[in-house]
Amino acid sequence: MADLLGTFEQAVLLAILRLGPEAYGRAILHQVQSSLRRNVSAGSVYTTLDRLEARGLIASTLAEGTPARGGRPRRYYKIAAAGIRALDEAHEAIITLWKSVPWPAKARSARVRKVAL
Amino acid sequence: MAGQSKVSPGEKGSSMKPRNPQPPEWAEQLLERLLPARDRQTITGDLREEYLEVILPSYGPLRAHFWYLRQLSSIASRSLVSHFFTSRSLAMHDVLRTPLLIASLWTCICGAWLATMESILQHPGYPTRIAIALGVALIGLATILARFLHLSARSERWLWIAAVALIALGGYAFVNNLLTSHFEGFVFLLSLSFILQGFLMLAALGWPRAGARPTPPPLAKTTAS
Repeated sequence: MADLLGTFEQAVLLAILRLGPEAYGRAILHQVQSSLRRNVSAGSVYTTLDRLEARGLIASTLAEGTPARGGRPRRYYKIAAAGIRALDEAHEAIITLWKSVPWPAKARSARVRKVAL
Repeated sequence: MAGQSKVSPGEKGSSMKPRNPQPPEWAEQLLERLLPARDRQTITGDLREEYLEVILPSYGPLRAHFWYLRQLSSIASRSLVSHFFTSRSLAMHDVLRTPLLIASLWTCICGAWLATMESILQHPGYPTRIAIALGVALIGLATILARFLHLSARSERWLWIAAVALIALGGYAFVNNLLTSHFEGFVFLLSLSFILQGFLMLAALGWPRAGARPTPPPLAKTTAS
């Protein structure tokens, strides 16, 4: 648990997982934007993909380009076993973190107020 | 009006659009220069695809061009920052990257400063010294352009020669400064920094640039949508 994934890294990994064999740069960007419900810069997605690959959490392969791309290849990403483990750890950490706090906060604050009275 | 040729809205619209819409060529080329070799084709391909299939039909050529420039600045700035200031592995060329960048910037500034001072003071023999100082600044600049912005793979050979020249120049200045009757502190520091930069360049040049990243796998045929 020494090197937990950040929120954005989780979003990118989950986008790859969801897209399956169609996970390439542009599709991942769209998926991340739709899951985070905000505009995300392409630069941040590519940098994150680069970092995740350097950490061995994802792997990539090149595939032939389409005419719309001017023949340029696409880089497809897939999650490595280490990536799945990292997602598991991040999920577990979030669950543990939230377990320690009664939620929703409204109910909690009402109870605190009652005790104070 | 009679006699006036009727132009349908569709035809009028198409006459306003360029015949073969493309992302701005200069921006695409600049992006290719700024990206690491591994990502040049794939990222520019992604952008071109998005530009032609989504942005251009939705926003028109002018706004699409602005969109492309925004992407260029976002991707290039992040790529350069991560390239300069993060090490992907403990390989020698990765470890040397940041010190080499700092040394190159320092050498470039020193050379420019020396040339400016010589041109102001104009001591005897100043044209030669200005030429040497400009040469030193040029070596610093060339190292940054070639090693960090990938401007030319052919310049690697020249960088080897430049590194040896820097070490020779630094060594000559260092020894001369020790032997002379009036020791100059700034000459001592500059000569040391030139020698350091020369050795850093030689060490960094010892490995191919592509080695900084995992070797790209061969092209695999997939069913791309």
